[in-house]
Amino acid sequence: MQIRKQWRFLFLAMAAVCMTLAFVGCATNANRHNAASVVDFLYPDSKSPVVTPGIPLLTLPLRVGIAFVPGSGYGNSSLTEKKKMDLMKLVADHFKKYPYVKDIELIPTAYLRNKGGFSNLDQIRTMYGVDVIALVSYDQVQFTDEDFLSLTYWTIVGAYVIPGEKNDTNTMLDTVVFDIKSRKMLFRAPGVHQIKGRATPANLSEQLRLDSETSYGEAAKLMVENLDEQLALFKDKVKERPAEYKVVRTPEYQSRSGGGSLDITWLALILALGGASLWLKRRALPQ
Amino acid sequence: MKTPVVTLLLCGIATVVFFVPALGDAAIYDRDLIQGGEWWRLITGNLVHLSVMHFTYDVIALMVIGAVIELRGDRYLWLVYGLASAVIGLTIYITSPELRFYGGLSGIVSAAVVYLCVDGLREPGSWRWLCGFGLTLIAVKIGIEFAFGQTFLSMTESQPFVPVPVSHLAGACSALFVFVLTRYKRGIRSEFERRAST
Repeated sequence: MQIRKQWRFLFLAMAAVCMTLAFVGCATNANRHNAASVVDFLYPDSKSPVVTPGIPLLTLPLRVGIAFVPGSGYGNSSLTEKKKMDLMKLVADHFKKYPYVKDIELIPTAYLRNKGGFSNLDQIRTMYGVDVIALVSYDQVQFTDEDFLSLTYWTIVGAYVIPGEKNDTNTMLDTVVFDIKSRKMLFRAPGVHQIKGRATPANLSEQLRLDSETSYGEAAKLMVENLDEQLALFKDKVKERPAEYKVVRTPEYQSRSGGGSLDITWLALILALGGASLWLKRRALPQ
Repeated sequence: MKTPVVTLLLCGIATVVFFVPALGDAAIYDRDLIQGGEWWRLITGNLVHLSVMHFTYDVIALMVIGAVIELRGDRYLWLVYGLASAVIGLTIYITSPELRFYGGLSGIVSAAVVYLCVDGLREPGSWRWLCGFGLTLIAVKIGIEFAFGQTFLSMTESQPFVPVPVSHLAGACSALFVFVLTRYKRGIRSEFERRAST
């Protein structure tokens, strides 16, 4: 009888411990946040008046700079300087094909000050000789929640068998293209990506880092696709609103592209030959 | 009445390429990408146009001249188009290393005009004289383009590119080659056979 009571007490105690662990496990969550904002970089002082943009003068072919805006400097981001350079190269390779882009300069983040604003961009313009800059900002949040499977892992199943953490990685990369001199935003394009994953607590950190890197890469690809669309829309906008965007084509720009073009004399000769051929054919037909 | 199938097809492709920018990007003659292995751009560059005016002039001209040739019952126009496309791309690649981008059907149009006129020289009557006059005009025209480096179109309207007269010359040479190949191959073959037998 005494032994049976002891067993019952032991069972209840274990159940209580399990319930407590389950509640604690489910209630525990953590998140990692890495962000760099264009607004924080360009308009750091909320007291100063908002910069009024002028009319941009786009001299083709353009020299374009690409830079990541500096982040807050905190957090354990997988977005290292090398990774940033790789992502910028992806964007640069995509845009080199356009005849109106002469050069694309990849600008290391170290050349941009935190909350540097347009004065910092003016320095970049002088240093690199770029007319237009594409500022890439990012915002990545990783949520980690323990769930019931986590408890199962600790109590019944052996290590590394059942993932015990739910991880969500949400990433947004955003490129904003500015004409530096006029302070005018030309166009912007975002790339948004989400990963829903699982991991054992033992490899949680590694999995989060991998998810982070993958998500940045995928968001960058989507951003490049969006950049293409936005660039096409911007070209139409420039044509429709010549008063808002001035475009100058340099002789250098024109000489880089060649066209097999016909002039009015070619067209006249062709029409004359076509007309004469028809007339002669009709005349030759038996009446 | 026959339908100028080959010309309609070529103009149709050029129209689709003009209105779908992604296709234009994939097809344009881009020297850097050709050097990177995308050799098809040597041929497909002819299908890309760089402005509305450029596209309109080239496609109207090709429609007219191509239709005339096909309605006259010619069977080798596809060969003129194909060979001219490749020769124009290659010639520009070799002779104009400063040119990164190229696009336009005008080289092929000039090939078609030369092909029609050379063929017309074999016919009797006023058509022969008209074709002879046409050929002379083409020769003078290409000479002027080489001498001054621009066409009348580029002088009257601001175009986002420079004219490339070598494309017209390459097209004309391709047309002559196809004409000799198709019209005189029997004569050449029989001449070889005659010499071999003697």
